[in-house]
Amino acid sequence: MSNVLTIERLTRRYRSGTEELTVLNEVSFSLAAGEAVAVVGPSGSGKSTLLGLVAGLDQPSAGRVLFEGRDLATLREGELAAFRGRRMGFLFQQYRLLAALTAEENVRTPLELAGVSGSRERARAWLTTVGLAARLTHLPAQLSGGEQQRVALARALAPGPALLFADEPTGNLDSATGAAITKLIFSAVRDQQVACLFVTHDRELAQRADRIIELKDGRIVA
Amino acid sequence: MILLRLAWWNLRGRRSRVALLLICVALAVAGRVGVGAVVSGVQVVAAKQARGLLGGDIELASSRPLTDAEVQAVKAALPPGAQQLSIQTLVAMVAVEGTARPVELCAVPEGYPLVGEIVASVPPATLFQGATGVAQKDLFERLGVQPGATVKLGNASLTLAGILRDEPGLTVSLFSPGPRLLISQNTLQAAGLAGFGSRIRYVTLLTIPDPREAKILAQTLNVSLGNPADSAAPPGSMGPPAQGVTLRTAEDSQAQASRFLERFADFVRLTALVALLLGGVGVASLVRGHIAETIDDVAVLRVLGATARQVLGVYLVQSALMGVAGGVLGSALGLVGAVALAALVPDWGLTIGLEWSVLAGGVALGAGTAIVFALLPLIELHAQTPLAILRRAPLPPPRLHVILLSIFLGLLLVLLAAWDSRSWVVGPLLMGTVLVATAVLLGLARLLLPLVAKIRPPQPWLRMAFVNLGRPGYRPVAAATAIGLAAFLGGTLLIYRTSLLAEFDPAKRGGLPGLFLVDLQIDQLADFRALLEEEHLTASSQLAPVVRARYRSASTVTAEPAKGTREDEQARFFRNREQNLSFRDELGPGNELTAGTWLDPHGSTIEASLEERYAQRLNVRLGDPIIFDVQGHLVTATVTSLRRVDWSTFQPNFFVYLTPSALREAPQTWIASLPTRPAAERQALTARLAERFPNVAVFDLSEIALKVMALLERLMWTIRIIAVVALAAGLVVLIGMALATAASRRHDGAVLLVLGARRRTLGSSIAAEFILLGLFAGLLGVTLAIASSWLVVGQVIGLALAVPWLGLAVLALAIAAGCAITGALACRGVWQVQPLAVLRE
Repeated sequence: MSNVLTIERLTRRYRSGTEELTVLNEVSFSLAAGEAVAVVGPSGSGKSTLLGLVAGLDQPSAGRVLFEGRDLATLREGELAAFRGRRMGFLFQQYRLLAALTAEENVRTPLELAGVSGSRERARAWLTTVGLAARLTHLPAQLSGGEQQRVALARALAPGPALLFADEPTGNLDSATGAAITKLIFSAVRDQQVACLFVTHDRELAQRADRIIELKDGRIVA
Repeated sequence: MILLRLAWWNLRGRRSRVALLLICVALAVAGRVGVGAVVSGVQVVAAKQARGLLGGDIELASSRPLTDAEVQAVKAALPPGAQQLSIQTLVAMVAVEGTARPVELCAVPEGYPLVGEIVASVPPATLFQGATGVAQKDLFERLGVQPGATVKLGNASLTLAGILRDEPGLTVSLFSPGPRLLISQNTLQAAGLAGFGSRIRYVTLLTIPDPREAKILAQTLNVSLGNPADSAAPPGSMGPPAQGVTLRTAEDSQAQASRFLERFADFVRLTALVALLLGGVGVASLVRGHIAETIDDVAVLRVLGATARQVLGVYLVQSALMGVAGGVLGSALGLVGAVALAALVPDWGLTIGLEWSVLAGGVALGAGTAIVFALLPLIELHAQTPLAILRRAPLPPPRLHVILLSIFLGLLLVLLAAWDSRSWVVGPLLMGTVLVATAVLLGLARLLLPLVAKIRPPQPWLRMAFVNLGRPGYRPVAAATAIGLAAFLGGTLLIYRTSLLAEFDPAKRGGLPGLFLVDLQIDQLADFRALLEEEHLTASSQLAPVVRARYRSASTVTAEPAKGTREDEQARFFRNREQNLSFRDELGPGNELTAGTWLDPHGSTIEASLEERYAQRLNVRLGDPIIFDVQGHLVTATVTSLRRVDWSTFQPNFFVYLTPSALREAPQTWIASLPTRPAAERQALTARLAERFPNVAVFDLSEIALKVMALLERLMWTIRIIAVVALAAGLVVLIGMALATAASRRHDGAVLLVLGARRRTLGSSIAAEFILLGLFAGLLGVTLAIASSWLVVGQVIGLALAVPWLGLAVLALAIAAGCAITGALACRGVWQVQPLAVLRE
């Protein structure tokens, strides 16, 4: 199984006044297609920083991120944007849907940004998959939290990404809805052979992953 | 105290919104304060220069030399130490080889003026050394000669010795017959103009040791000369009085000199009122945005025990604070503008001082504007409960309150407009038009913008632009209305200007005359008709008799208030001014009967046909008797018809025609219009006319048209300023709305970047959104301008509507570009967003 993601000695430092803080310290690991890895750890351990760096949303102070063999640091803005649009999917605790767009339009947006044809049909198919065939024209404000997260999942998976990032995907949901979302995520990982890197505080969710990486003070401790 | 503290806390950290609110209030206040300061400056200058404007303390004017009895009466009334001298003024033609121009001729004796001085490029004594004169620079330019040139004036050869820069008779006058030319009285005699039946105005100027006694002396003189004690020369009178002697004090002359500026100030004050409305719209929109931003604080305050009234008080205190600060800023801006104007036109000699009353007025206006306009969004807030806010399910606003408050605001503005314009017609009409345009734009924007926001083009960046117009919490309607109003005002200005230019364009209006002749004597008619034959102009020329008279109402003289509305003033002007009567057998071209039947040319009773607006101003109806003093003889006529006159034909037309038999034998002069010809031919013909009829004043209509256009341009500048203020207010509202949606825009920008969008895509989307909004508002405003101009210009005024399509398209595009730049700058944080930072929030 080839690695989708390889992280080598990834380090991120921030300057706070005169003090330099190391929030991520020489973290290395890899992730294969169809593999789910959970990142756990207490608040401030560097989980979200790791996710941001791996997604190319932030620049590391040292080390590198190889995505499908390419060093993200060597990509220009346009290439990185295209990479994010086609090969990465994102799922946030706060859903992060575009408030003015309907559910269908939200799902179509990354497809169209990536120039994928048949975006409408694909969006509808994914929304049907996540059980929202009847809510295509609803605005996010008209959907429940669970429904919004399903739309976000459909949006993340519709372009056919190689890697799905999920930041506390069930953090804002009740346990039943969270379980339904978790089921959908793992079905996608299995059926689409998508690699999945997710950050969670939820031990139960973490147990379902193939591997658990535990971070503490910016270092992998387990 | 708690309200003040809460208001302050609530404002902290909202610098952008506070700054925008201050700008809106300042925009609303600056215009009025600036105009007030300039008008006050003008009045001070006019009061200081009153004696200098008249050239004495009292002026006696008549169309004939004073009789011996009148001279004796004046002498008897004068206090010891008084001085007097006489001058003559008339309109005459000055000719030089191949061309001739009308001038306002003033023949003066040695010792002139009694007050003030002649400022010229040569010593004033030069005037009395042979046939010499000094003229305003304009005459040299029009004749194409240099100082020292010899020109023909009547029968005399006159040396134009130098340039006249200032003298007491030079006042602000829009329609002077020509440049001023000063000569000696001997030169006037030598020119032979006095003997040709010219309309000479004989003026006697008096100075007295104590100028404060002028008014009392004028009353005494009026009585001894047989005038009513409080009579004065009618304002704007150019020619000599029809009968008797009229008196004018320096104070009267000051009032007349500053009347034009005051009228102009009335107009500018009205435009400033429109700026106040637009600033107010901006305040309302920004307060609404501020409430939206702080709505959670409102819920918390209410949960913590604040009453709805207290919360309302917090926002009202905030508005008042902003209003006071904006009022100070606006007053300062207005005063700076007035000082800048004084520096730009040093000739006016304006002194702009810091008047505390002006500043206090500005501050009060600022606070009032901020509070009154903030009330609209605040009554909506007042209706909300904490639960409704926390559930994000706002309760509907109390519609009746909103409607009543809107009506109250509209009435307040209309009343202010009536006060400013001193008219129940002009001001309310202008403000009413702007309010109706605002309401129509608001309605259309509310109706159409949601439809536009539903358009979904295939390109994602463009689709986002359309989607953003319907963004939740975004209120582009207010910005679209304010910007649409700017487009409406700008578009209306362009259309009126183009239509008026087309009206004056001889190429488009072949029927317009080219030359206009005044003061043809009855014994010159045969010779003049012969000239028309020689020039093959008989068929295309118009000739009309003019009999000078004065209106006398059927009742005895009634006391009239010195001040009143603009309409009262106009009616008084029409009643008191000298009236040119005429007669003709049939209805002339450009006249249309609107009531009654045309005069019976052979009838035995005296009938009158009046122009309908003139009849309105005199309050005279069909069948009423009307009395005119025709040079000492009272003529009573019955009004038998009313006419609508197309004054834009520039043909000889009159407010009053009487039955021919009533006037045929009265002392009369004739006027004529000759058809337009190429400029060179026109000049040659003018020269031949001046040669053959030296007493006749010949006016080139193209020059008059240029003067009219210059005046219109001056008026249009003020409308341009309102359009710019409207656009500025609209853009401020736009910035306010962009700021109100900044957080959600940054969020969406971050999400789009995460989903694979490039920053360039975000930028294109934002620019496209504001171009769309600008185009929408621009096209809406321009369309409304075309529709309203069609109604007013085409249907009411009766001009041919000329729509400058290209100009309007450029206007709409310029507005769209302005919106794009402003919006892009206001949203620059969106495409510079760091996604990780936003997504972590």
